[in-house]
Amino acid sequence: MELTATYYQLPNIFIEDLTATKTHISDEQVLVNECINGDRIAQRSLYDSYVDYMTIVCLRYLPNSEDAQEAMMDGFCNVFKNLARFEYRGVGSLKAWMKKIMVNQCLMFLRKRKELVLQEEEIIASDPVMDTDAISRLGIKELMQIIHELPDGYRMVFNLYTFEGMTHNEIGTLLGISPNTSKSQLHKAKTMLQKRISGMNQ
Amino acid sequence: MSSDFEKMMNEKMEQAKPEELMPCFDRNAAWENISERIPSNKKTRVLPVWWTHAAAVVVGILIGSSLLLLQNKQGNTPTVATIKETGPLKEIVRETDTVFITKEIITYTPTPAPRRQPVVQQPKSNPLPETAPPQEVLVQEKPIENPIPVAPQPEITPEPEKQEIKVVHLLDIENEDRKSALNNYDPAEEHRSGFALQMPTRRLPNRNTDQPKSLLNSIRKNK
Repeated sequence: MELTATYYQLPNIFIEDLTATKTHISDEQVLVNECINGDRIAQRSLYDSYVDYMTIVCLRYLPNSEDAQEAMMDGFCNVFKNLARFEYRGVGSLKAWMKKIMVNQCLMFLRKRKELVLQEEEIIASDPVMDTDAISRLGIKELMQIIHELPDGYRMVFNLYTFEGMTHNEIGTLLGISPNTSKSQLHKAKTMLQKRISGMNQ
Repeated sequence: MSSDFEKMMNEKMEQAKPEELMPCFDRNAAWENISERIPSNKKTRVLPVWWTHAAAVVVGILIGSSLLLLQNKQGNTPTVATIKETGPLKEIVRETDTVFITKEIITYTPTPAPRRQPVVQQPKSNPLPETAPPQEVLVQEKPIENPIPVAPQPEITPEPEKQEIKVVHLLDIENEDRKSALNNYDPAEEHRSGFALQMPTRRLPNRNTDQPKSLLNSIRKNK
């Protein structure tokens, strides 16, 4: 009596899905484990994978290039030192975790220099309509220049809301302000941006 | 809820490169700075426990052997002490099992020979006659009691004076005579020391010996 091979075979779809996720998890998870063990090659690999993105994150919060680079280096040091506490939760979890560390590092940098001053004001108004076409025509240099021209408080709230995807409650908790103040700050930031974008396109 | 504006902004930021915004950005230099501050898996060599025990045993053996060697050296070599004694002339020789005292030989000065010393016995009021020669009194020193016998020293006989023979040529005789006469002239001893005794020269058979005397007389006359 011969046992057919198909009886014991799993469907191909399941096999492919399992192998794909397994390899994807294994690569990043293995890299994290090796970084925790102190493998220099793994640490350099992790650094090279995320250095560009994290530098841009820091540059959004700190207009000065030197300050941004310093905050990025401090952030990577904290990443490698606290990597043992990280719980891998799938693709993108490591990037999000590292991004939070970089943002906290930038906020600490501003607080040390006492440049993060937010005025409590509760002007509840609807957000202005942004010209996306005009924004699409702008290059990254012009866009970053417009963001750097915002006041520190406006820039913080704008970055946290727009790029980090935080709610006003979360922003208020992080910056020590009320949610309404966060909304007011965002409204003013967008208004200034729109004026600047319109002026550049004219 | 993310609007189109926020999506567009995120897409722009994802595509950005640090070199476009920061011309002086150096990722390698930044990594070197980071690598110095983060822990690595450099294996620290830990010596096994038994190495420390072995090292302690070796050190103990070395210390013990050095102590044993020092003790052996002290037991074999006798102590030597030299003692110098000054005072009466005594010959001290004393020796024991472990102490040796070397004797100091002090040279013994023999009794000096009696020396002739003129002694004036009479006062000035009764001067001695001029014609009488001065009396010589022998003065003998007291000998030292209990002299240390000294081994007889060999007598040293003075060597006879060597007379230097000087060859003088006929032509130089007169010049040398004049020089020697001027240098060695002593009127007190003139009667005793003749020119011939002062400077013995090889006499020629036909040499006129009166000639130097006439020269001396002429010098005297000039004075």
